[in-house]
Amino acid sequence: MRISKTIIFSIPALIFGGILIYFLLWNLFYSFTNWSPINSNYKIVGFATYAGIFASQHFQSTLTRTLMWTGGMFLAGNGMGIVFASLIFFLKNPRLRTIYSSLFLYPLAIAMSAVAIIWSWIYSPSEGIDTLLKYAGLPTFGFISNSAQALPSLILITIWVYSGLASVFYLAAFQNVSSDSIESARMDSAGPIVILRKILLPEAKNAFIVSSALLIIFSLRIFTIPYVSTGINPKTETSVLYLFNFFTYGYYAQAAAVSIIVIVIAIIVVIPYALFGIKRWINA
Amino acid sequence: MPENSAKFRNRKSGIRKVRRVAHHVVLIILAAFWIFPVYVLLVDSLKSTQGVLTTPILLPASSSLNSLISTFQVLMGQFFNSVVIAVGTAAISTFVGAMAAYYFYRVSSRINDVIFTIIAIATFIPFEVTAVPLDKLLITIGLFNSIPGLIFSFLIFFLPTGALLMSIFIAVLPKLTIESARIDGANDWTIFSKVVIPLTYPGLISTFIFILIETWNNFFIPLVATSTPNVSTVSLSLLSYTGGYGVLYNDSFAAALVASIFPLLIFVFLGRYFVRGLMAMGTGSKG
Amino acid sequence: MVNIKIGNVSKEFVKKKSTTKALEDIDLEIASGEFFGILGSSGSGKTTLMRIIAGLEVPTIGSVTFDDTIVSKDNKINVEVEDRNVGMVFQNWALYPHLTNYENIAFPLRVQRLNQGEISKRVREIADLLDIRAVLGKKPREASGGQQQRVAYARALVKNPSLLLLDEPFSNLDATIKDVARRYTREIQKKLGFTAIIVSHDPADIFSLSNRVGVINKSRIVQVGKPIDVYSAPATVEVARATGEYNILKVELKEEGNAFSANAGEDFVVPIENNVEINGSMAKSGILGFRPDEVIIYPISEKDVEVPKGFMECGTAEVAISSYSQGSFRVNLNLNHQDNSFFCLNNTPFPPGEKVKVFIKAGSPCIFDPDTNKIIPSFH
Repeated sequence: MRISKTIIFSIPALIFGGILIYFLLWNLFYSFTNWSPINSNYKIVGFATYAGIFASQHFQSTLTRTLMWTGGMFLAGNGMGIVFASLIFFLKNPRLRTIYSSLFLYPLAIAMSAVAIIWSWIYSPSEGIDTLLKYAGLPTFGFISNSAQALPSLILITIWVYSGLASVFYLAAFQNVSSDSIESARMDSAGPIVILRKILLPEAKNAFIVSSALLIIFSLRIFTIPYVSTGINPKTETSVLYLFNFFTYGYYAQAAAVSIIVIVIAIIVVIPYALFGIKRWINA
Repeated sequence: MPENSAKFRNRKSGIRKVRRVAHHVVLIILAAFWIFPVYVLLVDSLKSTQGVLTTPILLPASSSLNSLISTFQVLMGQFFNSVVIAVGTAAISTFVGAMAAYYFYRVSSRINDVIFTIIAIATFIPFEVTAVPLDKLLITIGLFNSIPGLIFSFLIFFLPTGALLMSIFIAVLPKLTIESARIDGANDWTIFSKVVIPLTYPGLISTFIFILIETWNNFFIPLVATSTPNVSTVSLSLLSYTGGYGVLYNDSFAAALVASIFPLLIFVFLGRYFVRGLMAMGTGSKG
Repeated sequence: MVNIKIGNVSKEFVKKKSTTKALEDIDLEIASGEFFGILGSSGSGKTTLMRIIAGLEVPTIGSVTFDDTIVSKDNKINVEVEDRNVGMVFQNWALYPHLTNYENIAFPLRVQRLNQGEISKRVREIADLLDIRAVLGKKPREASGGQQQRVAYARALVKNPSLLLLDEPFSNLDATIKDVARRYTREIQKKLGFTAIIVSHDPADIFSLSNRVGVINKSRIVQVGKPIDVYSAPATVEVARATGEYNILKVELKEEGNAFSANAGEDFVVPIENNVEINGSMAKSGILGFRPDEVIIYPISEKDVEVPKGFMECGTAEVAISSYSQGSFRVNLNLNHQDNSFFCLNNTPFPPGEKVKVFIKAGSPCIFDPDTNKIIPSFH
């Protein structure tokens, strides 16, 4: 039958998708072993590797940082996204709208490693913002060279990168609100803040779901910014850096177990989103 | 009460004027914050060594193209690698993704929905978790530290993305158009190449641009899949330009500019396609 | 020129958890060279039936046979759409928007890998036949609706199909060019001789084109026959309505000596020629059905009106409202029971409230069983 011939069309994509699934299963399998440089003849150890990882203070601190990063991106990304989207939405000039939208979105088009380099110079105590503050006789921040501020400074960079992403979805949601209801609110002499709170935001629930899911997923996979600007550094190490470190030194079982933990967190985020989104992907 | 209402309107328009000014001021301040890193990037990649030694990065100084030119000469090989890899990955992912999307569009069944859902979810998994198996697989099939190996690795992530995006864009095609092509006697390949491809042109461009930018900017996969600079990509090469003590910051910024100029120009000129890809990715809408 | 047999076809669609029956026990045979009409309202299953014949859907059970070849049977397609040599004109024409009209028409020939000269010759031949040579270089959306439709015809016919399927082909056309389109459809079919099946909800399409018609209602074929027979002796109320405008009245059936009548209140008694029996005894109540064009009315104030020839006097009714439609006035009439009303066509409007005498064409009314809506055949 012809249908069976049509399958040929899907095979290349299925192969590559299959490899991706295979990678996930690979992690699952080796997370139950003790494969490491000292145990190259690994054996199945059940949950022992997981137990070791969860017990390690080091892992706990990386997971805390990952969750802080995720939380920071979730709050600030959505917040800035709403601010940008509403400021842009109330612009009357369509050209200005386009210009500002692109302006807040362009960081996404820059290589993360370049972003990391630019910002680490901006944060540099000898050349960056702090230098100017010193000239002016003001107190300095320290940014990434200050252990308390290193993580928030890096989170700030990712907020700079990803806020525009959230604003795209909020702006789209605002633009979908029927202009009738906005106009009738205007006639009731409602100001922009009221319109935003009472009309636009309640209609932006989907935008909230989408941008939250994407912000969380992207913050889980953030690697380049801390890796390039501070290296594998106890002040800024997140779970994926921790995992990469295990990989570099050949602690494959540990790397696999951390991978599975990250995957589980990601899937917990993706599934509610998928329930919302994939139905549309399929029936679209 | 005509006078009364006139006064009322006056007061309102005063508030409105203040509000309009405040609106623009806030936007301009935020925009300045957002554009600031690019200002730094441009000013400092154009600084001469003299300027570097006398000014901090936030202040402009006399400009020269020297550092940009010399950095580009150093990174030319990697720049070229990046072009080949990004264009190759984006083209293959878009085309093959479109083929898969055509299949999922043509043949709808429960199993296909499940497969498609799994692939869609898998594309959102952080790719760092695949570091070890990817490394092992590349070594096993002999593609470690090679350009084909890099393209292969990228395809693992971006081919499913391509299929996902194209499925969204293909869905706007009326099923009747495909049915009438079948009645005209066309086989799948003819329908795909003569009908589907020309009619989903904007979606193809969006998918291509989206994957192109994502691939170009990716840092992690080259980090895992390569070990020598000759097969490295330009975004990975920036690693040697981080602000250690031996590096002058104009070289560092010049390298960042070299690594960013390609996706940045694409964003400036074809940004709407990138945004459309992003929208499709997020919401499944064809915007 | 193919003979089509549809044997006991049923089609179910499974969506999520619910199953819908689109077709049930369809048996049909369409002779080679015949122009067959499938008439039904939307949702009746007519489009599904056509798609099964085309090969775009597979019958859940039953078989479809082209000449001696079983093309699909019991949820399995033996001969794919591509190989059935079928031409199809869709309701919205489904032209390829990115191709010129010429390339649209040439598409089926390019698929067959004919050489350029042959393609050009055949496209021009069919374009001349359909008078669309002038728009060949344009894109479909640059041509008028009628031209687009003829491009769709040309595309369907250029490969000399043995079967042409028409899915509501006229419903997107302006009323003024519908008849022109119907005429060339008929002429081309006569000239080229292919078997044709038209699916429509509009009886005008069927009457102007088809040799035979199958009326489909709620997934079943209810009646098959010549259009005029189906029109004048509909098997059910639904068939009557599908084939044209139709009045129905709830009536009591009376027998007085040898005279039989259908009474809709005291003022409205329709004589019927024969008794109507259900299970061997005279039916008590029924549905009286007749066409609006088989009714003549006169104001009751007009004296000395003779019963028009071939008509019978049925009583009086009161005008509810008169409206204008397509060249004549549509007069809505109430009987003294509010729930019984009907309409007829007249050259002049009547003011609301005016009483009229009603005459119905002798022999035309039908009586239907009120429970099943099926016609009750008359006995002598």
